[in-house]
Amino acid sequence: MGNKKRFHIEYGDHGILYALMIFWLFLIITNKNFRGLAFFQTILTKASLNAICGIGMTFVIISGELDLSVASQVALNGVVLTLLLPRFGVVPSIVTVLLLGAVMGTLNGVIIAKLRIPAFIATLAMQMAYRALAQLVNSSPVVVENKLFKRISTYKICGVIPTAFLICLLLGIVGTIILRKTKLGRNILAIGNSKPAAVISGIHIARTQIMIYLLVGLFTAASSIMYVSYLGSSNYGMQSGLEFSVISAVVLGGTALKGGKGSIFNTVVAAIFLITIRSAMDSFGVDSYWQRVVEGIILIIAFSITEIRNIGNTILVKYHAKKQLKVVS
Amino acid sequence: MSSRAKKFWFIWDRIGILGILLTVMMIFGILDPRILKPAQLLTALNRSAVSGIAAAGMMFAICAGGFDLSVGSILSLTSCIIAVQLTGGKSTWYAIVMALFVAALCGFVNGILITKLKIQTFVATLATQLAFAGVTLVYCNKAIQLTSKVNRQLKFFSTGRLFGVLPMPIVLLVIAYVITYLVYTFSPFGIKVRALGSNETAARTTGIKADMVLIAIFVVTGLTAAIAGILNTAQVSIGDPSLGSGFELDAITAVVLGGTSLAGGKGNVMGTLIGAILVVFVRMGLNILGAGEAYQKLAVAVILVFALTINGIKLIMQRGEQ
Repeated sequence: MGNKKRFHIEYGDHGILYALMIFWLFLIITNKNFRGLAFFQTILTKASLNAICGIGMTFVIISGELDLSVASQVALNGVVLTLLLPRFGVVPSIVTVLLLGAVMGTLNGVIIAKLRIPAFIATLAMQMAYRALAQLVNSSPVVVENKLFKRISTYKICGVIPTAFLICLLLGIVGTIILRKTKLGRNILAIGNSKPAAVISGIHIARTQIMIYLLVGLFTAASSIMYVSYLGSSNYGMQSGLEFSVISAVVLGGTALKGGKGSIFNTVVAAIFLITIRSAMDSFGVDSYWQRVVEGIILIIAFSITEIRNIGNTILVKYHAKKQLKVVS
Repeated sequence: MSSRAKKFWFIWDRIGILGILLTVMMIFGILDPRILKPAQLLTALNRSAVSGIAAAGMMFAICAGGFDLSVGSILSLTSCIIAVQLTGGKSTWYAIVMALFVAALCGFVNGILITKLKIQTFVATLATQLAFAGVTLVYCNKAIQLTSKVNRQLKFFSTGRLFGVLPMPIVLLVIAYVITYLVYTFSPFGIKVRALGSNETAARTTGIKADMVLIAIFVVTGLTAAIAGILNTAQVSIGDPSLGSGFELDAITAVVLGGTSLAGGKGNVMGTLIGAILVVFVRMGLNILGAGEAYQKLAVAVILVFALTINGIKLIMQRGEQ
């Protein structure tokens, strides 16, 4: 029992994993397109790109806040990356972009922690600023020529496992270790649970917040490298609206918007789930504009899932109470 | 807070934003005197009608301690409805009433999500921003140019002159702000909004139907966004599903610049109006100086962070007093 309980604390609920399995089974039975390795490889690759960004976002949401600037960060990173690649080669450009991501994250963190601006509105402003900067850096689309770089996201190890998924798993493990095994992770969980309590227990809020946004910046930079490698091009308008799918993945993965609890493993699974829904809609011929509406509705459902559960519980309790009343009378 | 600091914030609340506006005008005037020509200033006022009217609705939302991030999508939706209805041969008034009705419905949906499903306002409206943008694209997936024949009546709202003298957008802006001022200061609705913003629990205990007030607020932001959308469509003669992207930031910036507290409970009607004019003026000034769209967006973002910082400092000093 003790062992099982510990497992739950470490990795959270597995509802989303079961949902994904059932959904996959349903798709495999109903549609021919979903039988075959290629389909799963595409889904895992696409989902990994979202999930890597989601790992960073999980930290923010656990601390009880939101980062709306990730999509624009990806755009700025991507634009800079494609400018650097032909001149400096793969490794230096990747390192530079990771640094750039760290700088953007730290800037967000400083604005939020030191200027005391609510996170979502600060990152809303930075979303506009980063997008504008990306446009200033380069306003025309650039195609990546470097073959080695393109293979980062598209290569399949032994022809089976996509590298993108492997990188995503590695980063997921790193994220989980940071969240569960380090002081920083415990501080983030504490802030999310109760900020006043965290202050009283001597946690340096501002420093932790800056670290959180630094982590987001790093994971987002990693994600943008993967995106550029996968798409083979960049432009300043790229991935606009990414923040929605990333936030949906995190929230669907059971991380509470109020903060205090969450699991990176579930974020990754939820990202795969969302991409599966999108591919399913594609193959069932759902119009791409309708897909946006569906995504919006999924987001709303994810946000209100706790309340829906509460309402369901109340109805159940009332029902049982009525039954018992009947028995008594 | 020392009495001196108190005095500073007292004065700042009343004329601080006006001072910033005048300073910015002076700086732009030095860089390029053309910007301060009366005709140019009139254009700025005309243009600020769009974000100004939306900001008036947003002020109620922020004053109640909430946010509405979906106004940009509602604006696009309105624009598309007007364009589709007009090109479909319907009358202008029919199109306008239809647009207002749909916008009110959008606001109602926001209100229901916030009050019944208990999602925080900014998160709920973030999700509906995506959903409404999707609905807009399903309804009309490309920009529709309005021909001058179809647009004749609608154009009256953007270039027409009331009694042959007063430009229509400015008339609408003034009417909107007079109504907002009266509603905010004197009506039971305004008082309830402020009560809700300063202390929700207390407001609920005193018997204010908080849910009803919140739904009403989001219907109001929806309606003001729709009016802004109608004006904007009339100005650019185009129904565009991406017309309102990023618009919510302009509206929020105007409100926060105007001195409305993010903590809720304290609005500033005249400040919001001046804030809206300031944002439009900066955008226009940069445009005349030859800075493109990207620089303008950057400028708005920087102004917003600046306004939020001042707001934060004020809050910290006021809290320190207690």
